This record gives sequence, structure tokens and C-alpha cells, in this order.
Amino acid sequence: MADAEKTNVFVFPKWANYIVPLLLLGGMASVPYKILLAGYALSPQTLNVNYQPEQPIPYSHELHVGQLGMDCRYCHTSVDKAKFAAIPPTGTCMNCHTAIHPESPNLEKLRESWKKGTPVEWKKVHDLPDYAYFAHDAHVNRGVSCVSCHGRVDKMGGEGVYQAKSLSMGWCLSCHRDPAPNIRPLDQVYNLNWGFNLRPSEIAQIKTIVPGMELSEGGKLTDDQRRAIGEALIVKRERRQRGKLSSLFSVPLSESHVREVTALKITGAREGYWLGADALKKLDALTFSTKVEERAAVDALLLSRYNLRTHQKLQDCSTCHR
Amino acid sequence: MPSVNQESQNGKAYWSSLDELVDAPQFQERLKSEFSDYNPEEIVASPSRRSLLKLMGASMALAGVGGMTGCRRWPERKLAPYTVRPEGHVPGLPSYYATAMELGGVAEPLLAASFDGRPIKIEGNPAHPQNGGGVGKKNKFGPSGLLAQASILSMWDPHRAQKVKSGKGDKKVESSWSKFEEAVKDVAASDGYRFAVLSEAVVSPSMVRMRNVLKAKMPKAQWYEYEPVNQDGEVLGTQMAFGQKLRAKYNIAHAKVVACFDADLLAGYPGAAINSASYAAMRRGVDEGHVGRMYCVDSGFTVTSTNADERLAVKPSQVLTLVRAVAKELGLDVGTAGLEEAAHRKFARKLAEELKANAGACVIAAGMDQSAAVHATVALLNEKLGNIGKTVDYLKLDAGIAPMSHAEGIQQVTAAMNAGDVHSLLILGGNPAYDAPADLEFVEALEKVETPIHVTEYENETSVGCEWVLPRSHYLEAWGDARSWDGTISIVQPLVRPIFESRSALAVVGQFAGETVANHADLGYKIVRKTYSGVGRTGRTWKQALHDGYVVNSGFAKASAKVAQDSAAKIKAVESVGGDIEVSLRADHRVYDGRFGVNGWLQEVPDPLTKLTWDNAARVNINDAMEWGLEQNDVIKVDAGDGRSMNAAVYLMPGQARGTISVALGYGRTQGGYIANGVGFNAYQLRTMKNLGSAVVKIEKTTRTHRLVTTQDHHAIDRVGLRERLDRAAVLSRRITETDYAHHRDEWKKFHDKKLADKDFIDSIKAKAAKVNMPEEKVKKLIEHKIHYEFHHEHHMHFEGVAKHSMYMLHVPMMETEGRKKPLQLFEAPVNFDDPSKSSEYRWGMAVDLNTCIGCNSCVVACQAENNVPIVGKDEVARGREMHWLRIDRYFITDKPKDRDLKTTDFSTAESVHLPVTCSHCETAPCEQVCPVAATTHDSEGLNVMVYNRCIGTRYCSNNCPFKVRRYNYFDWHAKKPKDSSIFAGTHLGFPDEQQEAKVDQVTRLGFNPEVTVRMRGVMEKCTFCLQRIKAHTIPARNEFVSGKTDTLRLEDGLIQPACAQACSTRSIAFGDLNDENSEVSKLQKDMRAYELLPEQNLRSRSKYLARVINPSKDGKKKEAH
Repeated sequence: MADAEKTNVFVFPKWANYIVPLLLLGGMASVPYKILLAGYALSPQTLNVNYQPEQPIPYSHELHVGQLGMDCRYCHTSVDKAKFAAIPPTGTCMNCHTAIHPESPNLEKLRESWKKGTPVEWKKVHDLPDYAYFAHDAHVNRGVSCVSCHGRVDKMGGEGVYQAKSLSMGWCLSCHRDPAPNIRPLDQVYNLNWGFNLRPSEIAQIKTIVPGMELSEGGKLTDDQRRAIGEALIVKRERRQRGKLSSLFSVPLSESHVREVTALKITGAREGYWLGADALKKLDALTFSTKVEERAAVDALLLSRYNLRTHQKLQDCSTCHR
Repeated sequence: MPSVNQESQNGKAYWSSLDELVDAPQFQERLKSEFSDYNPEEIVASPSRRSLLKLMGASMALAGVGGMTGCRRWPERKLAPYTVRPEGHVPGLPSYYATAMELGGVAEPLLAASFDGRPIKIEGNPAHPQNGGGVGKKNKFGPSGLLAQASILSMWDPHRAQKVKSGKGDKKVESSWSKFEEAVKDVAASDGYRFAVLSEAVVSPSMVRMRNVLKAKMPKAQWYEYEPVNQDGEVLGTQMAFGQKLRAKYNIAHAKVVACFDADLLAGYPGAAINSASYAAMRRGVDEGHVGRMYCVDSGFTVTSTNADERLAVKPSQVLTLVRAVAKELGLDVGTAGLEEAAHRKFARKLAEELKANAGACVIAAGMDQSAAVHATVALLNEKLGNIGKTVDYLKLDAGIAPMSHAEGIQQVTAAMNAGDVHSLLILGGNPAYDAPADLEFVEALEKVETPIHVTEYENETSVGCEWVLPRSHYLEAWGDARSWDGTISIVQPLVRPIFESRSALAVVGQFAGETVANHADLGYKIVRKTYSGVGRTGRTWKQALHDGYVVNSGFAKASAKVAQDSAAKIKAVESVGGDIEVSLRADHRVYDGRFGVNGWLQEVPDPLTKLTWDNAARVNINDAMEWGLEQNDVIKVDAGDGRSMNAAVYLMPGQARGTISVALGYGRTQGGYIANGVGFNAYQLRTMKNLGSAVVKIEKTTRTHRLVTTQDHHAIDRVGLRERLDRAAVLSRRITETDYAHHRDEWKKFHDKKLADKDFIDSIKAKAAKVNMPEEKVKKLIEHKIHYEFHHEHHMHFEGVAKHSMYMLHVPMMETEGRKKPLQLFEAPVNFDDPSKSSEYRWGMAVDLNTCIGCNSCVVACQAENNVPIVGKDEVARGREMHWLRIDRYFITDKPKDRDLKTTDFSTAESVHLPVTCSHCETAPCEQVCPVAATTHDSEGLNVMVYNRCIGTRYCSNNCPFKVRRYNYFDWHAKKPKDSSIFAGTHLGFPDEQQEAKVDQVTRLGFNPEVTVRMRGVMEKCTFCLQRIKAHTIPARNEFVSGKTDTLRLEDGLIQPACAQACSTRSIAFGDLNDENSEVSKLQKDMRAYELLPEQNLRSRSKYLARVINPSKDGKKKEAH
């Protein structure tokens, strides 16, 4: 009886002793995993990137911009004038579509809008929180291209525009801390293909900004090259804004001032003293110097002393929050 | 130890509430905590278990849901573009349209900003001649008044009358315009027999024309006009004096003496903006040695009389006696003076002397509520002194304006109604059931009318008694025209189609007059257009008038004022009836005649003098109150005899004449809708045909009390108690007498010249400068700086009421950093503003000139409109939670009571000072230092900014703010109704990003400024210097600069105007770039009168104040001395 009982009773094998500790261990290990997972799941990168709502009309930017080469501003007229990049009124579409594909079933809603005078209700893809005030004009007029935030819209087809970047505050700041890679010549802002397949005219233009940059036709700009171009453009602006270099030294000189002035090959600077009239005149002459090596020294000085626009000022909370 | 030497301040005390003056325990209590009365247990009304659980549950639900907001993308939003975009419209940029707001027959020329088709902000029209514009003149300043600023709230008010209603009394049913048209078809087709119109003042040319068309079509119809607040006195007075109906227009700018007889010229007067602007010009004269002096006679403080140099508090009935006495002194016999009190006689003699000495350069004005006799005397005086054509113009009213007085109008229409002569009564606007003289019993008379029709913006007391209630359009919704005080015509241009089923009064009359049009919505336009094509304003001239907001040369013609022969005799015949206690009934500063009681902004903005919100009160002289045994908040019965009486709560008011009570009209509404109902006390109950402006009354104390809520002790800058405050108030809001100021300037000139001639002094500086190689222009500046420094060490400006060695006037101790001496700073500045290479291209700053500031409140409401500032309601104001970003501190100055006994002080001679306070944007801001999450930070242009989404609501910043200008959102104010005191009011259980959509009214939301964040519960907020307006100019400026179109980032001075500065009719607030040495604000901040608030803390405020220069007569000075 006892034996029979023995055989019938299930006895946990010895390894079963490890189950509970292992489960506990696994449970503990899963906590950071879950946190990471939740963090990833809730990040704007996961939630917002590639958001692509279905639009009332399957409008293809790839066709209109990529293939037909229409300028962004043909439709988004206010992008360089106001905070808001206007969605085109029905009339803009009807400029062409009364003649081109007037019967297309895809454009049914457009024709309805035109007939009834009711708006086409587009779904907003790039939507910032209401407390963030983004100004389109402040970006496109300063050399930040559409492509920096919206991606290659010229390659987005009939399934609609999707959100290419996270548009989170951290993402905004990454550029505001270091805008140079995203600054390009003003006339290339709406050229979404700029720097991907260099044309001779583009190469010539870049060479006027950064002399001696190595570029090949049909080539692609590297990140470093983009940064170099951006920096050169920023310094050029700062120079104009600050005017004469002498205004930099309109105070009794500090130790660092003396070093800076000496680096510009100007003698007679002494700590605690004001710069003499001769030295100031020389500085002013340097301000608009055309010699490459002199200009490099002045640019370095300007960049070190006038970093404001690129760093401090660009990160003022008041830039985006009101 | 600098002590508070009470004797050294010539016995004057500055204070803002009586509790403070006697250092009452409750004041001390309030000082202890900034968030006064904040008691969480009290909020959980009865701390029962149930409510506690409820609260816990709700907060947990909120936290849970709140934490999950990130789990999804926020709600989908749609973009609805135009089908055809109007030419020239840039989406995202506001468009401005010239229009006008008519109030009591007087237009205020305005510019309305429209965002994507929604009007959201009202400004004054800078192009209008009244504001300094005109043909060929460039002007960028367009002031606007309090009521115009607040009118935008009514535009987007869901409480407005929305639909046509019909039926008697409360049993009204929804109807429609077509049903109404059907119902009155017979009347409209008739000859007007038993048809009458009761209209508001008709001055609008189109309305005058329509009235004439109507009368031609319906010859038997009667037309009456009534406004409770009107210009009867002036019209009848000029008729008495000159034999014609005239209107006075003052030019105070170059006046030497201004005498106001109960006239609130600067705020409570039609066309007040013109007067205050020219008043400011007069005050500015002190810097050039042109000095004006203002005399005021009234029974209680008005905005104007707080700014007077000499004021006499008298009973309303004594104004006539006093003006007669002045006339007599000047050789004009208009009746016996009979002034009993020596002070009055002295005042009259003094005033007469000054008027005589400055004949041709003085302004004499009488108040709107004063009798025709006072107006006539004043007119005769102006004529006698030769002021006409110089400082006073009498304008001839066009034909058709003011055919009868308003008192006659309402009397006649009631008589006709009672006699059964009126079958159909069309009431255009107004609210006669509430505001008609009480003895006419208008409500009873209305019952005798078969078909009363009320065209009204809001349903009110009159609507209840009417058969038809027709919604009337807001002025931003309908076409019309109006005339400003000088008669210049403005076209009232709509910005939107009516958002409800409303029509304008003009269109309704037009329809009765037989005007037809295919689409009724176009009727108003057709009528207005026709008025002008009739006088040749077509095509270009019409468009020009529309664009500019006025019709060129359309003002009233100047009249040749010839004294009528029997004028003096007529005035003599008038007797002034007085009594022991007189009550004066005046239009309220905020709700006017009561029609703006529906406007929450105006209910909540503190009255300029009493600082009352959501109430009016019986203002009683403090000495009288002690005699009569009254205390603040006691309810008294004011009995005018004949069964006319009212109850009102007592407010102890300094500056009130002995034996007088002032009650503002416009409160105590019973059918005024959610906001207006039950607020304050109805003073119209005392107003009879005989007693329109004032009445002789008896008072009786009742057992009731009524809690009056004032903001006067809220956000007190000083928290250290009375003794400090008494010394400090005079330092906070500084005043200097003209004599002392002139003396100081002379001293400065002498000192400056002496120092420049002092060779040793100059040489020593030059030698030191040469040692460090300092450039020439720097040396010049250094010399000037040294002279200034030495001068200010030796010569202090002698501010009134400031002890000579007051600790608050001492200089900040110096400390040595990096070998250079600098004033001691509490904190290190987050941005090095001293180094031009480190700071930004702009340094924003503000300067407030107290010399011209009149304390009228326009800036407060302008700020509210611009920045989506909510209202909180009376209960929350009582807790000190009002949200105004800009407040106007008001201090009274009286003799200091001896031994804390108020009886020893004569309160009727009190003076008052104003001090607008808002965020100073300190360069070393204490608030930033204590924020644990860096939600408030400094930007490189010097703005102290709030990042709302970062704020977690610790309120440390507000605690650490020395100026107390930070405001905390205890609730979702926009969602919470102002009278809802439940703790769940406005609470939204759900995703926070859906809160607005779910909880804030659909219509209200349309009026928000899209350029400013709508703050949620739990965040701190404060003045931003109108950051959105700054950005609106700096961004384009930089765009132009980068693209090479301009060569500078510097902005034209005056281009950026914060909402407060823009609204200010006296241009007391200057804003601009301190880096620009030529900007107005730079110049003002360097002015001799400029000072910083709390200078001893060396916070490096970006706002500075300019001391007020007062100019009391020499007699007055003596009076002050003993």
C-alpha cells in the first residue's frame, strides 16, 4: 500500500526548486524591460513618426513636386510670410484641374467643394501642441529648408503625406543647439533635392560660400560639409549684423580680449586699457577683409564671441512659448 | 538704522484700505499669506468623509488619465482652407478693419483685428482725426477705452440673445424673423397710427435718414429717444446760454487752468479719449515749463478728480451754488451764491482769480449729470473769459440730432402708452423697464401696449415685458454708421456675418420704413451705402472712408456762440435744492448705465477708486459713517421719499463729501442674464424725473450686511506691515510738486554748468581716462555720468511724503567683483546684459509716466483681451485669485490719524495716487531662482518668460516675487463659470488635450487670441510684455535682414506696442528697445523723474516709473503744511 501510494504520488523533480527563484528573477528583470518598452512605446518617435492619416483626396506630392517640379510656394503661399504655411484654397487646385483630369473620380471631393463653396477638410499631419508657436517664415527665410522638418515630401505619393520627424521638443532643440547642418543658401530652401545629387550650378554656389570644398557632380553632401556651409552662412550674417569689429572692444580690455586682438595681429593691446584709435581703425579694416586667411581669423573670433544667435538666443524659451 | 520717522512726512499717510490705516488685525492676517484665504478645508465646503473621498477619487482619476496622455496621438484636427481665398489675405496673419462702436450716440473710432475671419481684438483707430490721425498725417497710436476693449467679449458671448422669441412674460417661445415679419405686416403697411418707436440716442446719419423715411411713410408714427446717461444738461444748457443746441469740445493741451464742475472729463465722459489725450499733453508740459492746473469740484472721487491739483468735495446741489459764486467773482451775475462754508468761499475765490488771470487759456466744464443751469453758467463763463475758439469749441449739432431731451422722450412715450395711444411699440436697444425714471412706472405702462417689440443684444428686463424679442447684432456683425464727439462720421464696418440669428436696429427700422432687398443680410449695407451715395460719397471716396474709418470733413461745424439775452435771467430762476444727505447717481465706470453688466471682464475689473469687483456700493464719507454708526459692508436703506428707496452696502470712501452718498447706476439687475443678475444694488430705484442726477435722501441702517469684495489689499507689495508701508507707499508711487521739480531742474542746470566749468574736476577725469587710453566720446559720457552721480548724491528730489532719509531712498551698497565696483546684487543675472557682445540685439524695456497716467483701467482690460486672461468670479476674487496680469494699485493720502483714531482725520480732503504694476522683467529676477523646474527663465532680450507646459504649480516664484505680479490658475477658469463655486467646476475627467473642446464654450473659444496660449489649471502666469507682439515684428525684421532687404535689425520705435500701451489714451506707457538710444523708452528711463520700484533690492527692473508732478496752488501748499 505504501509502495503503491509512493508510485502514485507525484514528486516534483529536484530542478523544480529553481522555478520560483527563476520566475522571481525573470519578474525583476522584466521591470526595467517594461519601463524601457513603455518609454519606447510612448516616445514621440514611436507615436508620431510615420503618422499618415487618410486624406479626403489622394493628393500626390510625388507627382506634383517630384515629377512636375512645382515650387512649394505655389500652394503653400504664406510659408515665407507668416507663421502658418497655408493649405491652398480649392481655387488653387482648380487653376489646373478645370482642364486637367476634370472628370477624375479622385477629384470628386474637390469639384464638390468648388461647386458648393465648402472647404475640403484635410487632416492635419504635422500638429504641434497649442503651447508651442512654430513660425514657418522664421525658418524658411533664414535658410532652413522644408526638408529639414517635413522630409522628402517630393517622394510622398498618393497615399498621403506622412510625418517624417518626431517634432518633439528634444528634436527641435537638437537643431536649435546646433543649427549649422540645417542652414543652406536661401535660394535652395525649397529645393528638396539639394545636396543629394549636386548639379554644377549648385557646386559653384557652394564654392563661393566655402572656398575649396571638395565636391563632385552628382555627388552627395556629407554631414560635415553641410555643417561647414551652414556655419559659413551664419558667420556671414553675424558680420553684417554686428557691423564693425571695433564695437567688440568698446570696453576696457580683459585678458581674453588681449589674446583675441593679438591673434588678429594687432599690437598695443593691454589688459585694463582701452584700444587706441589706430588699433580700432585696423580692426575696422579687418571687418570687411577679403583676404581668406584674415577672414578666417575674424570669422573664428566672431563665432566665439557672437555665438548668441546660434546658441543662447535660439534656445530662449520665448522663441517658441508664449 | 533708518527709522520710519513719522513726523518727518508732514503728517501725511499713504494707504490703500482702512484696515491698513489703523493696522487692523485682519490686515495683518492677510499679509501673512500671499494666497490669502487659501484654506483647502474650506474649499472642501464641509470636510465630510464623503466629499473627501470624492475629491480623492477625482484627483486619482485625473492623475491616472493625465499620466496616460502620451499613450496616443492627440485628437485629430482638420484644416479647412477657403475655396477662394480673398485677395491679399495671408492665412495666419491678422487683418485690420476700421470700424466704430457707438455708445450713447457717440462713436469711438476703432480698428478691429481679425484672425482668419474672427475678430479677436479691438484697438483705437490711429488714422482717425480724434486720435491724431487725419488726412496726410501719419500716426501709430490708437487709444481705446475700457468699454470698447471689453466689447469683444460680448461679440463671442453665448449669453447673447440668439433667436427671435415671442410671447408674453416668461412664457416666450422660439420664433423666427419671417413669423415676426408676418405678424407686423399690417403695422408696417399702415400710416403709423398708434405705432411708436422708442430708440436710443439717434446720431447716426443713416438712422436719422431712416427715421425721416419712416416718418414720411408712416406720418402718424411717433419717434422717441431715451438714454439714461445722456447729454440733456449740455444741450439744454447751451440752449439757455446761447439759444442753440451745442456741444462743447475741449482742448486741454494748452490750457493753464482746467475747472471741472462734477465733470469726469477724462473717463466718464463721451469722447473721454480726446480729453485724456489732451490732458496728458498738458501734463507733459511740465518738462518744458508749461504748467497746467486742474480744479475739480464733485461729491465723490472720479477718475478725473483723483488727478486734480485742487479738489473740493461738495454736495451735488452745491455745485450750482459754487459755480454761481465763481461767476459772481468774475462779474457774471447768475444768481446768488450763498456759500456757507469758508473753505468753499475760499476755493471759489481762488479759482475765479486763476481763471481771470488765465482768461483765454482755461477750460471750464460741467458734468453730464449736472443741470442745464450749471451747463449754461459754464458756457457763459467760457464765453466771458474768451476761451471759445481757443480752448473750448462749441459745435453746432446737425439737424435731426437731439430733437427733444431724453427726459422728455421717456416721459412722453410713457404718457402715450398710458393713454392707450400706442398699439405697437418698437424699442430699439436700451432697457427702459430697468433704467427709466422710477416714477414713470414704465413697466406698468408697457403692459398697456398690445405689441411691444424689443430689438436687443441681450434679453433684459424690458424684453420680459415685450411680445417680441428680436436679437440685435453686435457692432462687429452689422453695417451702420456713427459720429464721434466732434461729429466726424465713421462707418461701422462688420467683420463677420451675424453668428446668431440677429439683425441690426438699423435694418429693423429699414424694414418698417419699406426698404426692401433680395437678401435681408444685405439690408444694412444698402441703407448705409445709400446714405452716402446721397451726398456724393461713392466709388473711391466711399472706399477711402471705409478704409480710413472716417469721412473726411464730416465733423460738426463750429458755432458762433452769441449770448442769449435772457440767459442770465433763466439761470437765476433755477433753484438748487439740497438737503442734509444727498445721494449722487452716476453712470458706473465699468458697466456704464447697466448695459455692460452682462460683460464679465467689466464686472471683474476693479473699480478705479473703490477697487470693488462684481458690485457697486453706497460710498459714504468715513467721518459721516462714524457719526452715523456705519461700517463697511453694512446694508443701509437709502430713502428718497415718495416711496422711492433702495438698499445698498456701505463702502467707506475717502474723498467723499460730507453728507453725500455716491451710488453707481447699472447694478442690481434682475433679468440681465447669468453674469449681470444679482450683482450689486439698483440705484435706478431712486432716480425719478425730479431727481435724475441726485436726490435728497434719508438713510437708515438695516440689520443685514453684504460682503463687498475689493482687491485693494491683494498683492500688496509690502508684507511687513503698516509702519513700513506708510513710509514706502510714497516711495512706490512718487509725487513731486511742480515748485520742487522746477527747483530741482534749476539746481541741476546750475550744478552741471558749474562742474563743466570746473577745470580741476574735468582734468582729473581726463587724466584718468588718458591713462587707460579711453576714447574721446567715452570720456564725454564719463564726465556726464560723474556729474550725474555727484549731483544725485548731493541733491535728492524732494518727493511728497517721503522722509528725507527714508531707507528706501538710499543707494544700493556697492560690492567689488573682478576688481570693479558694482551695486550689490541679490542674484547673478542669467544673461550678461552689461556686455554688448553677450546680450541680444534688443533689450526690451518699459516706462510708465505717472504724471499722465489717470488710472482709467483701459490697460487692464486691453491686457485681458490680448492675453486670454480669464475671469474668476466674486468668490474667487475674495480669495485673492483674480487673474489680471496688470493691476493698478491705488493709495489714498490723508492726514495721519492720531492714536489710531480715525475721527481725527478729515477724509473728505483725501488725495489719491495710482500705480500700474505689472511684471518688471527684472534682469536678476528672484522668481527664476526658486523655480524647481526652470519653468520661468530669462531670455537673451531680457524678458522673464513662463513656459506653461513645464510649470508644475509650486507657486514658489510668486512667493518670491517682490512685486506680486504672478497669477496662479487654481481652476480651469475658462471652463469654470464665474458664479459656480463647486470645487469640480470646470473639471474635465478625460484627456487634458480634449479639455478645451469638451469644457470651454464653443462660442467663447472663438474669441481667444490664437497667438497666446490658453492656460490650464495648475500653472502660473504673468505679463510677457506681449511677447507675441514682439515676435510679430522681430521675426519679419530678421527675415528681411537675412534676405538682404534691410541692413539693420533695429525696429522703428513705437512699432511694437504691448496691448496696455496701445490702449492707453494718455500714452503713459512707453515700450521699446533700450539698446536704441533714441527710442522713447530709453529717453524716459533716463529722465530725471524716472525711478525703479524697490530700488534697494537692485533687481535691475526693465520697467521704470516717472514720478508724478503735482501742481497745487500756493494756498493748497500751505493747507498741506499745517
